[in-house]
Amino acid sequence: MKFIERELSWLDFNARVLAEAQKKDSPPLERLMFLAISASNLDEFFMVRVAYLVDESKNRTDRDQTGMTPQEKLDKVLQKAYNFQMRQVECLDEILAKLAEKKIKICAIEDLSDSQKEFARDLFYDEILPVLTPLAVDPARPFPFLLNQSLNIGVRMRDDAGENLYAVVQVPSILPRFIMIPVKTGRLFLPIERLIAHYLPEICNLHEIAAYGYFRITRSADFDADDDTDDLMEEMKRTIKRRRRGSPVRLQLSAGFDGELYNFLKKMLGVNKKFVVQASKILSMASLSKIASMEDLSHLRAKPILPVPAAEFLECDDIFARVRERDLMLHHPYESFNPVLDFIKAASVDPNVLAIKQTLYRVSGKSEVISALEQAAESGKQVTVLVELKARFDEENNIQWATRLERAGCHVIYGLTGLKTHCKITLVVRREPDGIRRYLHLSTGNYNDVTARLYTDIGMFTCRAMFGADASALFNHLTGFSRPPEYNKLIVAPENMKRFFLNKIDGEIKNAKKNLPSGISFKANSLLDYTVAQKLYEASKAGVPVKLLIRGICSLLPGVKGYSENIRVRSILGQFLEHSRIYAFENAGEPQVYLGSADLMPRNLDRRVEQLFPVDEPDLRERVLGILDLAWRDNVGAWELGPDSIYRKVEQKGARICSQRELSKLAALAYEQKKKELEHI
Amino acid sequence: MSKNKGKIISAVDIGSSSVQMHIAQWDGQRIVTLDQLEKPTHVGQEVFSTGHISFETVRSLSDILTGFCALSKEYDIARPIVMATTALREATNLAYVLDHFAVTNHVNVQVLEDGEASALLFEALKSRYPSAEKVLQVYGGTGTIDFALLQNGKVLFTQSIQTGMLKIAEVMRETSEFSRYSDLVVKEHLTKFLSHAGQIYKMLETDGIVYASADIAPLLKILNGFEINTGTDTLVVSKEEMQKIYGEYKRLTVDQIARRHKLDLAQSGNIYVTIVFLMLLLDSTGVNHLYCTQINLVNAALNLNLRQGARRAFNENMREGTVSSALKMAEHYRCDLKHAGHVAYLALILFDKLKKLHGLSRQQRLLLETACILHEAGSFTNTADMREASFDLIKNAQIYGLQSRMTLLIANIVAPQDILGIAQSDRRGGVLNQEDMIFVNKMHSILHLADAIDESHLGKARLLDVKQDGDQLLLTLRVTEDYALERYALIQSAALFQEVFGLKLDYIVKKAGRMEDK
Repeated sequence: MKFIERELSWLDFNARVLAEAQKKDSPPLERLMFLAISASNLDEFFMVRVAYLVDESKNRTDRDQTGMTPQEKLDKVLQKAYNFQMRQVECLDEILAKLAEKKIKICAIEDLSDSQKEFARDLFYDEILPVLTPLAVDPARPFPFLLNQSLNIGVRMRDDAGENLYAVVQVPSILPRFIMIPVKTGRLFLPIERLIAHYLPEICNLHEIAAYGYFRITRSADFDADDDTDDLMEEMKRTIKRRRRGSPVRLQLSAGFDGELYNFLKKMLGVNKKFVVQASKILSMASLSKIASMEDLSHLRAKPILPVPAAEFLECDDIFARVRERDLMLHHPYESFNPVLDFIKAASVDPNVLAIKQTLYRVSGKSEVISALEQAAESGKQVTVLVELKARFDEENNIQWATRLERAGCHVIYGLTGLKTHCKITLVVRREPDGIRRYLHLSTGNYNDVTARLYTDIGMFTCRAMFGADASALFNHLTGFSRPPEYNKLIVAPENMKRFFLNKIDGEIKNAKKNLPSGISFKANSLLDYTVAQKLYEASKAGVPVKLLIRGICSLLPGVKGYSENIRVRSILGQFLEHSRIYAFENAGEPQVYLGSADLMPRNLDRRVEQLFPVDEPDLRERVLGILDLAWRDNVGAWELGPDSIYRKVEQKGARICSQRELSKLAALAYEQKKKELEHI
Repeated sequence: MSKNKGKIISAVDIGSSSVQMHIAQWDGQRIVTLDQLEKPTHVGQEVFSTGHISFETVRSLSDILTGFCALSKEYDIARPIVMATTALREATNLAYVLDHFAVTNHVNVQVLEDGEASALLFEALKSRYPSAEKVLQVYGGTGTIDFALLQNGKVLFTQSIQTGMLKIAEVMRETSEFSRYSDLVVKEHLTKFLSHAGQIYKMLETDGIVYASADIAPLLKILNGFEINTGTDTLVVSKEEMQKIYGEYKRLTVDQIARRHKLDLAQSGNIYVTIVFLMLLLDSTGVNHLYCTQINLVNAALNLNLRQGARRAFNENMREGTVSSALKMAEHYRCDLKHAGHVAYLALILFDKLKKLHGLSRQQRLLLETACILHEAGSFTNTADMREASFDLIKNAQIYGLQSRMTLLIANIVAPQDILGIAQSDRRGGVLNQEDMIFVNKMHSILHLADAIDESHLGKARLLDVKQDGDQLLLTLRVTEDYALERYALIQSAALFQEVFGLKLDYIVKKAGRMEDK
């Protein structure tokens, strides 16, 4: 069986992100945003995945299913990442040129007028110099510890004897990355490091400055908290501290970096040259997102797709009554996230609500969800919140929320030892005249109103008894009250989700062999589990048509004769990050559709608590199948993976179909129709 | 609208190998389970090996109860109903354990005897199958197998055999090196126990068999081909289907069953034994199919407390079952059933009329009734010292629906009494407390009086009226024949009655047709 290596596949995904930045007909700030995203993605890739490969290459030499050893993977990844970064630099130059045409520039000190220089000087002395601490390096003063992702200026000086002396000036991260210089028209941005560099002779005034250069360090963040601890929160805090001090996995240098300074840094940081990248004038491209997202420059971005109010929730005074009528679905960000917030808020103030339970994985900054839960607890309801402290890079946030919720009287739990809780469920227990009824929200995405405007996700509201029973059982298991139960409707990892997928695919294989209608259509963020991939190969060989919309990593190679002729793999990129997970099976002509929190990776299927839920209501099922169909017809943001493991843009034949824009139109249409209906009533 | 509609409760069973809780509500027509929880423990193992429950285990159980109580609060349930059976009951430090739960968790754990537990289970089972004239309910527990024969929903007779699925599986395992015919070993073992329970074969003259146990779910899946909703559903299995399964499985080892169905060895052993047992039941009766369902104590508690009218029906059935069980025992010991019935009739009139004087409950009335039925059981073994012999027989009897403490009280009611102040010993070597003594003496004096009214065993007298006038109790009797023997007995019993109730006994005898003085 042939499989694509994970990290290389991811780099291909990031290349597709970069391709959005390379689109010449896109507005320049739209391109800049995608460039910033590709840089941010790459930062995290180095911190986690490259760091992992570095460790693996030290400890293992065996070959995996891709046929590569860890060292071979690392070498290929570094080479590919290097080439990628060169393309990023080229792309940036192009974008900056386009921006310059619109009078938006990132400049050097030399480009400033006298009055502008004066402004910059005043700013430097008033706000920057007080927080600068140049650090000389000599036998008495060892090389300073430089924080992960910190931007620095390396300085080589010469003493009176002509000997080299070195110093490091850390660029303060609390200050804005780009200083806005006053201009009459357009915008002028001066990178802060350039302003600092201009005043180096004053900062390092004891010796002659021979050379300087900008550099940035990326450290390993591949540390996981030890689950076997009595106090997970304290352990997480320790892990976060450790993460700031991981070994360097990348050293970025500005273009034209001084050779002696480079050798000095390499030695001090203990970095091998294959981890060094020298190219860009702007290090830390992720910070370009600050410029790209400036509100008053929206004319230089693509017209945003804005969420519309959800049709099904129009003029909804009683959300519980609405859910009692039938199951309801929301598709974000096309439809507003507000009904989800309204649901939680309504539950928090409703005197008939007895208990609220929720899983929190990544929560937004000004979270209304947290406030609602606090209010609920303070008003005497039983509130149980499962906070996943180990949500990577959100640990500090989550520690904060957990502490706040506990203080408000919520019962905060951290899930099961050894498993990350990744499922997205809200359960509300309500007393009604005819007894207890449980209301559920199940989703493919997090309870985060910020990402709900940036990621595509689908959520479902229901109050059907079996779902309620399953959700209760799941929470009882997660809170440690009970051993893993048998579920009626939900499919839960790690108990039975992998087996579910394998059984379902087997079902399609059997149908194909009996000449019954068969088919598999998945939409997920990643497909990496080799067992599932192998089963899909089997399905293809049996004649089952397999259509996979995999946004990111895909280990499966489609279209290979004798293996995967019946498999097609596409990836969609656009204004929104495709995030929803949909799993559909033809099932001999009676399609079955599932939504869930899990991608098809070993971590989802084996090491996390995830949920899949069936979409039973026929009209909702049709709606989800329609989403899949539209995504498959996308010829604007879609890429198709070939048997040569190369992604190619799907050719635009006929009408232009951007699935994200089409879905937005459908949501708007539904809203308008519903509004008219209500006006007539 | 059903009065209980929307009522919600939680019930906990502290069992030998796990603590279970169900939270359920009544939707007007049926019990709907909202939550089911189960936490494994090793209480049974600890008690069976050491005889007591360690404090570490007690604290662990307490933590589980804390969690369960917190979950109950989420449904606005103030406190769950908490029960326990064998594992806790057999612990020598039971009192300390219960005290810990009462103080730490604010729960009162009801420790049920086997008879009580069976009664609850059998009552709950009734809702799981269509009603029939005569039904044999069988409950396969780990330590005992309980039988109850019902006619039109009323318990006729009950019996337990002191071997359960766990024990049988152990026997099968231990004998596997001597014989490859495990099914024969199981059958022979069961038949031995069934033969001890002499009345069992009468119970097998039945129209239908319902088999239930707490852990039958894997077997139901095998019988059905796929999972059923074990909380509420019942599977109907025909004799042919059972024969087919039996034919296939009797040749398999426990390991093979475990591998085939991805179960552990304990579950597989249970399946094997149950299949053999069910086949034995079907072969021993003329029944063509049986009903199989999963039920446990928690289901039974929910049934009792949620289903409208269930408690009243249960209490009535309990009474009838207890009386029926006592009558069967009396019949077995060749008692004069007419006399026993007549004494009971008379005693209950006296009990009811004297209620303001004795202040006793309906449950205690049942104990009196049972004592009356069995008061001469001892004549079967010892006519000279009949009352002592009756005491011994009753003390060790299993009477449907009654705890052993209740049967001990009944035995004391029947036994010869010195007048007040003399305590009887219970079978654990302790003594009855003062409250029990007072109760026993009151009931004994009523029984003695009722027995005196029918001294000749000929049913001569009907008690027309009982009236209290100051310190005198006046009985109006209608008699049909010469009443001299009874008058003599009445004089003898009057003294005891006066000592207990402080009332002088007097009576008017009305001969059928005319009044006579005493």
